[in-house]
Amino acid sequence: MKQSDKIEVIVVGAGPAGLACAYTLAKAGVEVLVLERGEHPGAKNMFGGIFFSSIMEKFFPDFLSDAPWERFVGKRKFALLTGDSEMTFEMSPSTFNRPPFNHSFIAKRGQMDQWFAKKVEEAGASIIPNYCVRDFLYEHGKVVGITSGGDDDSFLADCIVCAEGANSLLTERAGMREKIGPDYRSIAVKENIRFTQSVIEDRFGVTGQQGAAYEYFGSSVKGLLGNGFIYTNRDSISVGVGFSINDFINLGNKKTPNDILDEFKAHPSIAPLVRGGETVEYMAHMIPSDGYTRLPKFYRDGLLIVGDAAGLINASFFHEGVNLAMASGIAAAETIIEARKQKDYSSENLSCYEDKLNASFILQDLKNSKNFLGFLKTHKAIINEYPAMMNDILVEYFTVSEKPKTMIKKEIFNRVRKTVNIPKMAGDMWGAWSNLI
Amino acid sequence: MTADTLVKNVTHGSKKLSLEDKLFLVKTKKDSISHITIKHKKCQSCSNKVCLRICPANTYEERDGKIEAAYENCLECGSCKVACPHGAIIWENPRGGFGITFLNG
Repeated sequence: MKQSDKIEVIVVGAGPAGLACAYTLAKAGVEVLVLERGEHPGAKNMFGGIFFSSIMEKFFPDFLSDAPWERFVGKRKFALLTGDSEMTFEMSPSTFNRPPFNHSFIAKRGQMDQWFAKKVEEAGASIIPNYCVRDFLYEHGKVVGITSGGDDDSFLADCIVCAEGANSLLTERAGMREKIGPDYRSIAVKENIRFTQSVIEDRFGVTGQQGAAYEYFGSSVKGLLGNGFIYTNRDSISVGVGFSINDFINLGNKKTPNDILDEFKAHPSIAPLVRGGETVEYMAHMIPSDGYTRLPKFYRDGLLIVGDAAGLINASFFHEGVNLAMASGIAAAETIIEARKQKDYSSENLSCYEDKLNASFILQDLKNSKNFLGFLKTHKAIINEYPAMMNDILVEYFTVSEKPKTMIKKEIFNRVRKTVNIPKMAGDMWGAWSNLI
Repeated sequence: MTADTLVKNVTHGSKKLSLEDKLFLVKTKKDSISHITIKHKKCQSCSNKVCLRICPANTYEERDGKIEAAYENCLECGSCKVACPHGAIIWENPRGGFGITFLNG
């Protein structure tokens, strides 16, 4: 191998984590090469749809006027679905509807990642697309480079940053984590459905650049651990479902992810929102659900793991991923900038990366929601039974009849007492409060 | 108009696309070599065959008792590899520049 093939830092993957790392390094004058397996940054990426932009705005103060976002999230809806009914909480606070728009923008990853990548190149980093990294190269246990598989197709570097995403093949192969089984990942499928802008505005009650983010909990995905969503783009909507792969297997479901998406779209509350449009794309992606207690190793000699590959997703109600990815990329870059001063990229010297993650909102938020999925897994009543019960109570309470309301209340109370174990439900609710929120 | 037909008209206004229709919409650069390899021996003891259901693109099919992968349809999520209890699916990324390109991801 030619000596000229050695670079200071190689970043594997041009998503938000890898690009944030490369940008920070390039700005500090570090030589950095980003390798992306897709035909352009973002080509292989899919997310639900909300780009949490606070970190990006620190990089680029003109984000609001310059970045290719679709709509700002001015309206949020959290709905509980039963098989055929809906209960909803909706909010549209004035603060979400004026700059900085709660740093929440509906976006498409292809556009956003390419925009970011251009800025990263302007800062001095190189990005090579169409380059798939097959494995790391090692020397005395230290990661010293990468290879695309061919004998003379490799690069050496002082330090490698792995930002390969949720399908973490390299991370697993490098022994940075246990085998990724079904309990460690969720799957999400979504469709992009095109409408005219005026249909979107009328149907979702938004105007101008305002957008809506609807999240559907309860038994929105056939009682599986997961949820459905609709986000409004400028002239299309993203409709999707995500659920635990393990739950899917355990329930011996005969349906496929596409069936579950189609059934979500056919729910009486969803169908009127998606009808009449033209589906222009169908996509799928995995979501890490490692959780705080089962995260991979973040570093070893010559290697740092960032973003989805490091399991850094807040898989609770908040569904935050992009901002955690970017923050971890920056933390990795800062670690490398320090290590570079001593020209020492040993695991000992890179260990402050984990300290940085611990000190930031990244691991604090993951710690806070560490029981989220586990709690729901063992308390399925919260997904299936309680929403249906609440729906029945409300229906009964608001059903028009000539019965006195006091009698209705008494009947409701008696029925609830018969159908559920009230102390158990109180316990579940307390558990939900402390584990889910 | 009865309430039932009213609901029907509201909820079934758009025609339902088949999975094949949906997959046809995905921008793909097909490679001549498969990025998915199946270790058929490991499949023999498998009763569940979750690969036939978990794949959002219905890539896997059982033909004459053998699991085959139509790798050209793969959406590159990796769920099959994660879901297979026997480690029978060897899933690698397609070569650089090949496979899917999402436009609205």
